[in-house]
Amino acid sequence: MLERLTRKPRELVAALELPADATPAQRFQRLQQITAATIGLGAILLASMAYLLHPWLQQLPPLVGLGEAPVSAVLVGLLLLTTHALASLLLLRASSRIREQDEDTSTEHRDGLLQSLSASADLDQALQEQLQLAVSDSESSTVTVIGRVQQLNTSASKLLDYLQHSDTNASDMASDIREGVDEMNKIAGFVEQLPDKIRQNNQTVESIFSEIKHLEGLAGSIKLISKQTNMLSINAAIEAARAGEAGRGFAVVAAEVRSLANRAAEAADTIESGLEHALTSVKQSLSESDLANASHELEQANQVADAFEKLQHSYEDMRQFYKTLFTVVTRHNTELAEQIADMLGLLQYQDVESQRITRIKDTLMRRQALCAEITQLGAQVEAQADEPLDAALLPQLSVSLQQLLEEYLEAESRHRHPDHGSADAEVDTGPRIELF
Amino acid sequence: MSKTILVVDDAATMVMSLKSSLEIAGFKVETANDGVQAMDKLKGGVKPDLIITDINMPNMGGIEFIGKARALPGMRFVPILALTTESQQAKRDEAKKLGATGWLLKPTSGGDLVKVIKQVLPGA
Repeated sequence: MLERLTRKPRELVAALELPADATPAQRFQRLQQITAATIGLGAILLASMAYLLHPWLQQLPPLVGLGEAPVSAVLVGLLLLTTHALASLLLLRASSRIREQDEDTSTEHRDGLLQSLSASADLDQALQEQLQLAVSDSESSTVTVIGRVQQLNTSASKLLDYLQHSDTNASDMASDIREGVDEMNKIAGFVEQLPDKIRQNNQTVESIFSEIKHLEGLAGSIKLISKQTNMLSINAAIEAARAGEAGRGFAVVAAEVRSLANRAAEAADTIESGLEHALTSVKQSLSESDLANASHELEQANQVADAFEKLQHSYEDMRQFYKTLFTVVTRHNTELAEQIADMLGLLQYQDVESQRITRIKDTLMRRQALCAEITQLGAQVEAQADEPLDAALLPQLSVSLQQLLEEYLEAESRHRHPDHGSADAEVDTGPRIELF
Repeated sequence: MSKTILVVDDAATMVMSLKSSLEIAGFKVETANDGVQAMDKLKGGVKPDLIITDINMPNMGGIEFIGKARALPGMRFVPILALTTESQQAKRDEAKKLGATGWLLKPTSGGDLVKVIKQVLPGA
């Protein structure tokens, strides 16, 4: 009988069970429904009992010696008490069931939250590792770029040194060539005057030649005079011999005159022979000086001098071109050096970004530590089971995360570059370059 | 004779890039990775004509280094420039009070840096 009475309410309670993911509002609403149902059920039960027991109530007062009203009051009171007890029992069981469901749900939520925190900590760890890797990679790339830029600058400097060295060598060479051309011009000038000098020399030689010819005539005259003198001395000797003793002294004079005439003839022969030899030499000298050939060689020498002069002009042109080239390369090299210096300055962005990533990494590390701490506290709360999760941990987590956010934003604002603009007008970043 | 500049920064890339750009500009460069190393160099005989220092560094930060460097003999009038990402005005004021000559925010181009150096280092 009792089982039959309680089976329906149990089924009713079972029907009123909520799904595991029901919200607290849904659970409260369902509890109100159950309360209303049990009160309604109690009222129906009370009315039914009063109706069924009415005949018995009319017979009972005489048996207990009381009036009909007190007996009815006692009976209604008992029935009311019974129905309320039953309703309370049903309500108690329903609320107990809901609380069990809530506890199950709460446990699931806590486990889920702790798992989420643990996963978040793992994610933070993974992000930190990736950020560290990004910093290392960018640092490595920046070092490589700096190395390459240094090589570029070294190459540019070497090129400039080479050009400077070449310019110096070219200057020396130009000086040598200029000196060579001057020497050649002097030689050319000398060679140019040479035909006139040769002509003058030839005229001198021809004059000497005619003088010698003239002397040769004189030698012939001396020879003739000596011959006549010799004849005269012979005649004198004959006449002296005829004169006998008186002509003996005259014969001696005639002999001396004859001897002188012979010596004069010998001297004239010697002079004639010497003049003949001199004439032969002068003739030979005149025949060797070939003025036609000399003129050709002189022309060639002049052509060489012209070629040297042209070479000098060509070299001056080349040197001017070289000088212009050197000036242009030097200017470009200077610009290149300035651009390299600027580019090296821009590589400071790596440090700026590296510091920004480091701040993010530090914040992630702190959030990871926070999640680990909350997870540990969650395990302790679960062990103690004396305090609900939301009351113990969630407010603490919320406060800590808010504090972490504020600290991170404050650190970022302290490192904001003025070129990036300021989202917060109150943050004073100051000028980019300031001299005190 | 080329001027000597002491570069103090904990970031290897900063030290390398500054060293290269300053050497291209014709300066002789000494380097240190933090304030402690820089102080050791100054006490060890390095006589820079100018110092460029970061602010946020391990072991000894730039603000502390500026104060200590200024107290060394012969360092009273040597220009000290802070080159940093730190943009807080309070830090600038503190550095100025301790004897810093100027404050530059990273990144500063090589051209701008050399201009500032020529302003504070006559004859450079």
